[in-house]
Amino acid sequence: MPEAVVRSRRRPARQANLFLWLGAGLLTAFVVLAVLGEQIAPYDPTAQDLFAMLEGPTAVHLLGTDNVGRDILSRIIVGTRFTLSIALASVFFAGIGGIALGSVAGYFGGMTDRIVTGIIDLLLTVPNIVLAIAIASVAGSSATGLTIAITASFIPPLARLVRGRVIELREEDFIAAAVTVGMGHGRILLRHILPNAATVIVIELSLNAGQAVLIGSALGFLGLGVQPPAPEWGTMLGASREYLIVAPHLVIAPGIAISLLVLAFNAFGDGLRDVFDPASRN
Amino acid sequence: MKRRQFLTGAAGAALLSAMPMGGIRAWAQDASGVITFGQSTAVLTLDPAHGAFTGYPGGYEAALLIFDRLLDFDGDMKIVPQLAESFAMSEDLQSCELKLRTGVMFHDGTPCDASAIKFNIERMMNKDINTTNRPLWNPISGAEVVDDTTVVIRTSAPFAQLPNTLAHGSGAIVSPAAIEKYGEDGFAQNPVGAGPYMVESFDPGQELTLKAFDDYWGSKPGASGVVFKFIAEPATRINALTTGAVDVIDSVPVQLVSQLEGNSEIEVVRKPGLRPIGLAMNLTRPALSDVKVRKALNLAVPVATIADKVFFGFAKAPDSPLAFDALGHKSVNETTYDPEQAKALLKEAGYVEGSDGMLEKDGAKLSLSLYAPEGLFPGDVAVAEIVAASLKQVGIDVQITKIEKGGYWDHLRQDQANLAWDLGMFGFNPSNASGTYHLASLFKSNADDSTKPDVWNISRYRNAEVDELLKTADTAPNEEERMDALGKAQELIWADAPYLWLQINENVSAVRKSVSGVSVMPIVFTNLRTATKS
Repeated sequence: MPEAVVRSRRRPARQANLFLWLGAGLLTAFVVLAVLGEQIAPYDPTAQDLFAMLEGPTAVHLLGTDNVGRDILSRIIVGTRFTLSIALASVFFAGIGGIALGSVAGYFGGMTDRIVTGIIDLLLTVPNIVLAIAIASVAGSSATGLTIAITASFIPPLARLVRGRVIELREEDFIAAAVTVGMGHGRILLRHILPNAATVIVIELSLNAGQAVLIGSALGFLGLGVQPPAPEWGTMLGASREYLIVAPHLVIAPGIAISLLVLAFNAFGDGLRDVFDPASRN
Repeated sequence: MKRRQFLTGAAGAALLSAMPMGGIRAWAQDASGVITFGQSTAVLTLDPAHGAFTGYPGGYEAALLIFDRLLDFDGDMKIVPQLAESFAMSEDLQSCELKLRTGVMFHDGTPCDASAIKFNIERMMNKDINTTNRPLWNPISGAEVVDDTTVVIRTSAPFAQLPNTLAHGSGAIVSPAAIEKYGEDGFAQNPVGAGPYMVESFDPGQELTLKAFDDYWGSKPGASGVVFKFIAEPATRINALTTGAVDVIDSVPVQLVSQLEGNSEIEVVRKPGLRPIGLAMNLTRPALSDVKVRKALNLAVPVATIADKVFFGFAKAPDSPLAFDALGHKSVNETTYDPEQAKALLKEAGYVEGSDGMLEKDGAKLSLSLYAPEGLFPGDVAVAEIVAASLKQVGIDVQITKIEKGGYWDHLRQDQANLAWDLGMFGFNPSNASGTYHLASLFKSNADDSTKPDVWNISRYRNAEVDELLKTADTAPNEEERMDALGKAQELIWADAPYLWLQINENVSAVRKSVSGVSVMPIVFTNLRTATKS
């Protein structure tokens, strides 16, 4: 019997590795596209040709041309940088904000906890895409605006998760030991609590990144993305919606790009979870 | 985006379930002959006063069938009689005598006579009751009943556009008895007019059902009823038309026309609009205060190619500040695309190529900020992108700012100090078709350029000669003189180039072939007044 248990554990582990490698591989590819961008794009992403618009995929334009005759492949490649950097930046800032709020609330408890969770609960009642739209319409159509919007929508759930984990850890014997030897609160939090909460946080953040790509593209689709003529996947999708029937390739290319990047983050996040947190596999 | 696709799918499914009924109706070609019109905008209110017919243009399209007016526009926007058999403007252009038809009845059975007309004119003069279309109604000072079939309408100053006001949609004649019955607040939901169709049921925002009015004074209505249905999504409207769930649709996006053209049961109806789209130039900026720069901008953008390619030929490059069908339009000059000449003009204006190939003067780069809305004008963002790319070709750096359409007008109409744009996309639709009204709204000098513009002179254009010509075009006693002045004003404005003129789009509707007589008016409206269903 023990043998059987071991085997059943091993197989998902291998699967997890597969996910992890798939996600990591795709992400690396996207990072390369984002960094090199213009260098590997076959054309200038803003160069127009009014006499070659709405053309389907050909050997000259592998993914065809858009409604003002720009090369779609080049726009997808150069657009990677925008979407990827927004996803990473918002996850980074959401991480800082969520960890700070959640750990302070969870660790100190009492009034601090009640105030922080009150605010978090209030924000959680607003769906994150709605919150993001509200913030983006105030902050304006720019990378900064989008990053702020997405970051803000991620902080509440993350803070909640961190708070729960911190409350759990706070009751552990080794924390009680640290307190009895007279260790300061800051040191306890940074040295003993957060390292033990790291797994949950890292996994949550990697899954958030996929979510950030979706929200960012949705905002772009709704007209809150970049300023034209800069390429951005969601904006490309929104602008080509009217051409869905006459030129479906306009929608398909950015659609696949968005799906692949979300898939990459999600696979990576799932893989991480399975490696670091085997208990949650079931 | 997923949600939207799902909703479109759901709407499509809803339509499919409604299809068998529509389909049977189309095959049976029963004598009932009810025409169903799938509109892109909902009908909300049906009162010429209190904010006029809303939403635009859906409300106006319904009003065309419910109400008659004293005068009417024909398909070419010429003024023709309707409730008035004839009309005569006085020498001094300060009054108009109208001979009314006899025996005209409102839907409620009350007579539409001279006293009813007087009631209507006075109601529309009242600023508290009639809050919109004020430039059309402000000059009118009173109406007098001469006898049962003769009315004289007076203005406080010479006003050559009086017939245009009477023919405008807001000139709809309502039943005084119905105003009495439903009150000023209730009429918009219970409209009673003297038009060929009367209201059977009205669900504002959803559906309006009209039936033929048996006692109509004119020729018998061509259908036993007309149903106005609000269908927002263009693809859904097209589906409804091809399946026969509706007989007429409006506002067909040009890129989807090809889908309908192959269908032998459907006819596409198109008409050039009255709204020339262009980029208003902010003349308070030093660079744009130079006419050479403004002309260079106009030469550097391939507007004819834009009309042809971006709008699939459903648009034309303008040849005057007015649209082709505006009253008084004069073909001034064709737009030309000549980047070399543009470069030469910019050089004359003192601009030299910098190290990066972009133009500069006294060390300052020629950089312009272009404001464009998203989804307010046809193809707005795409056109802005093409303009930016074309101007870059001659060395002008253009930064586009895309503004959400709801807040766009506020950005355009600002105090001078708050104008953030150098080029602002704009188009004016003169709903009374008058070229004088159009030019005066856009190019008559503002009283004070530093505050918000009086009407729509957002460029802060100022030419005393144009002001004088526009005054003549409005007040000169004889028509030839007025048209001459209007023609000269167009030439002067065109030469001053306060706009980068882009294109005049066509309004496109589509009709099932079982219905005939549907027309599209230059002022956007799809008109079903003369429609018949076999």
